[in-house]
Amino acid sequence: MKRITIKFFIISSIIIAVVLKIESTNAFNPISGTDLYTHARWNSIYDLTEKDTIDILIMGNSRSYNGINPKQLSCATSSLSFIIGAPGTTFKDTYFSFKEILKRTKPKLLVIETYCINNFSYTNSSGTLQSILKSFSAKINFKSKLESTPFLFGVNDWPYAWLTSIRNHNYIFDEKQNLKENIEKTPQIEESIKKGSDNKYVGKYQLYLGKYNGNSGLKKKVIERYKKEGPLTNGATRFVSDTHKEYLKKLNTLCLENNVELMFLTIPVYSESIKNHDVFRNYFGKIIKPLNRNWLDLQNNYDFLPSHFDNVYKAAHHTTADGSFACTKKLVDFIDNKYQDLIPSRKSEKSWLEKFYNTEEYFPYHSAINNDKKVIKLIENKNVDGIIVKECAYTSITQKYGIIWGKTTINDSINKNLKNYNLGLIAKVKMDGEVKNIQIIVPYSDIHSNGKKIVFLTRTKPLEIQQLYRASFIENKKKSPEESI
Amino acid sequence: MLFNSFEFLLFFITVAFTYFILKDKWRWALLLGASYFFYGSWNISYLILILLSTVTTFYSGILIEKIPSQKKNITFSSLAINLGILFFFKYYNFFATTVNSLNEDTLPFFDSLLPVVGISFYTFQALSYTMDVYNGKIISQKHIGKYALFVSFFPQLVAGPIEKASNLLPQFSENKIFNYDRVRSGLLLIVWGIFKKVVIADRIGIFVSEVYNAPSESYGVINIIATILFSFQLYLDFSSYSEIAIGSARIFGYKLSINFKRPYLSVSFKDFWKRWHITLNAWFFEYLYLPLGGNKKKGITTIRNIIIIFLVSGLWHGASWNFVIWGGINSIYLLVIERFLQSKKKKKKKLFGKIFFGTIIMLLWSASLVFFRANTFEDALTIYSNMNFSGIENLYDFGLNKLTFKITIRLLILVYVIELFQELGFTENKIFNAPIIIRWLIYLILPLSTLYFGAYGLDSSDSSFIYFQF
Repeated sequence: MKRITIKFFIISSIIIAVVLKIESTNAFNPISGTDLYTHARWNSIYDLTEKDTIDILIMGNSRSYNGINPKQLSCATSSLSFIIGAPGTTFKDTYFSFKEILKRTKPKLLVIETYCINNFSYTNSSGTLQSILKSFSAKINFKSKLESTPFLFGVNDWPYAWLTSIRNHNYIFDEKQNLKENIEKTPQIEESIKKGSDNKYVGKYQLYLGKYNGNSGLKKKVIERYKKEGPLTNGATRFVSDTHKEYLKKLNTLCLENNVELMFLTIPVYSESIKNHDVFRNYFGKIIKPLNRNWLDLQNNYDFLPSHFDNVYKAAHHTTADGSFACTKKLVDFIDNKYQDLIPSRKSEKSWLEKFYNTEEYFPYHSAINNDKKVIKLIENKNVDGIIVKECAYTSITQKYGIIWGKTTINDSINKNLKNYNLGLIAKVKMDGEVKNIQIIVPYSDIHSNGKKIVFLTRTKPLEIQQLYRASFIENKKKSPEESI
Repeated sequence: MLFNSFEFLLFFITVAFTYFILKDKWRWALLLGASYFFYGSWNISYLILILLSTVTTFYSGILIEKIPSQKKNITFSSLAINLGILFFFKYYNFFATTVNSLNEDTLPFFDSLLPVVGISFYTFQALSYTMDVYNGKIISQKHIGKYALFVSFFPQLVAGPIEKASNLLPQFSENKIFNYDRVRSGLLLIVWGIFKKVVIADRIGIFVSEVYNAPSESYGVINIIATILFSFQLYLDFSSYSEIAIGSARIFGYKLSINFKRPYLSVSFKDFWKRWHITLNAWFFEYLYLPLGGNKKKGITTIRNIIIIFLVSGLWHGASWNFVIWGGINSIYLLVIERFLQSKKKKKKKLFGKIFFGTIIMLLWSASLVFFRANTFEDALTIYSNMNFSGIENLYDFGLNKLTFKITIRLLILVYVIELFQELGFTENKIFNAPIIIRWLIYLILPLSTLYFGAYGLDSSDSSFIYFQF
């Protein structure tokens, strides 16, 4: 028996060594799709947490990273936020992902998007295993991966979880180009993502804070289809599995042990695509009641526009970029209201400014640094049509575009409902190599304005503003296209 | 728990190591526990059925010997209970559908009646025990644990080989000493079986499924190729299961019966049925064909008996008229075409003749398998009616690209060549006596190529063995 055991051991060891060698080439890594985004997100959080502490961590499935703009959230709350959502994942996976993150950073606030708290498991939902695998393979902590394996996967899926070359061995026959590119080391995972996605990264580290959607909003045809064919999501038939209920308790305990505040967030779907949300709201409310945690349900008291949702006839569809701005604004207000003392202000910290200063999201919430030559201040604490404009300036964001913003406060604008106004500027500018006088319309920005301040913001071509002749508030009589739908 | 799964690998290694550590007198208990765990892993409620079958046949065996005057009634009762269970779980809905189609809504239909994995196999094995005790061929087993192991022995539980009690039961009472050569040979058989199943049969299965699951979308030569390929898929799938079963049992020291003996090298249909699913055919021969009179009375009685055997065998495979038709076609082959082949006896002895007749048999057998593989009777007719020699340009549109198709065909040829060598007397000992480099290359290449060239994974469709459904 000793002889065969030794032989068996040697042969098994050689086979394992060969498999590990093949694995180490990364030849079987997927080079496209959501696998890459999930990897990039995890790589970024590992990079980020080498030096920084994350303050607000958002977790969930794809609805989380399509629903919230982490840059906007960070700038608005002067903190560092990050979304570690994985497409189509389950709450069980979210729990283990949070455990992994806790080994590196302790967020002040954990926001769980509720769509991942469902009845999905990979035995009842096709594709869920693939989703969990994406999230699992992106993690690097060997011990925590090992601990989570028996809970996340059935025995037969262990090799798929641990070995990409086994999981994707069919590339040999079906995805030869993928193999070839991996073997030639082009493109690297991060490099391929960075291409054409400059607004997904911030700061000199080019860290990935989570993706938000850039798709167009709902069009008339799809809206009519929702009306005609009816909603695709029924709150009365949505339920949470016992496993997920158990993991909710576990997550709550984990948060208590680590002094992490926990809240729930529901990113909305288009109002006509869901029915009986109140039934689910009641049901889920009862489940989380014993946890005594806050829940921001954006499907409730719904005031979103069709332009906030992807132009698809689909259950649990995503929000657009505009939609994510709108959701983020509501989350910011909620955090300001409920967790004001919890979230530290990092706006004077060098590392925070390195990440967020001179981004499009920074200026609506913060003033430009004094003597910043890149920022051309046009108005500063001046009366325009009877309203004190605190700041109006231009800065170049990238080589392709710049922004002009204007800020005032509610007190200063008491006589006018500035929602219906644009800030109009007549200026002498140098644009496309030509000097000319132009009128610039800076519209009211609902997503950046709140109960205290009013913001006007627009993107422009790169400009050199030589002289401001005049500024005024111009009434906007036309309804926006989405309002007229 | 499939043989071709990681779960089974862990299970088997654990059971095998524990088996050899345990004292001999407790090994049956380990194997019985492992067998019930193995079977229960599909569905825990299956255990109730196998326990019922075990208890009834075990006590009927004892009672047959204790009360000889009642042995007919006891045997009949045992057969009735076991065949009743088999009928209800496997055939009831089919029966109800057939009756209801003649006389609307006469019988209720049970949607929740799920097929029970392996029920035909262990029921036949248990019944053979009862009939052997009744016929006085064996004495009844007095140890219920060992008898339960005979019915449920995990290597052959769900898809055979169907063992006779006289072969397997005594082995559970023997002292099994660890034997290096035996274990090595068992391991090689397992690895070879898994390679054939995962790398070749399942790859062919992708093509066959694409064609047979949407028969109206394929036509011409594609249907012919898919049908011929299915005959290889079926053979490789089922024979690999048998080899893994035999190899697994061999490691523990038990000798299971050979189930396949290179059937595609047959020179006649009679020869084919002696090489194909040998243990099932032997069962039908002994417990149905002979009691019906066999071929004692020449002429019409023999013809009747052969037809009955094939129709019942067809029905054994599945609760569908397709299987009955498949059985019927094969009875015609044996009764009609076999006569023609017999008349060409001299030619068959020459190599060319062997290849020629072997090819004819294989093609006719493949043609009958259309009914075996098609999902419905209408699908089978569609496949047949769309067969012609056009459309070869669509060959790579059915799940296998050019590279995969070519590799698969080359591997099929490799298996064919290996079988030719085996037919000429090449045994595994040649491998064990080969230089160490060749031996170790085989030990390493088979599992590694299964891992990297196998048709398995998250995107693969069902990878279970075809005969599990029977």
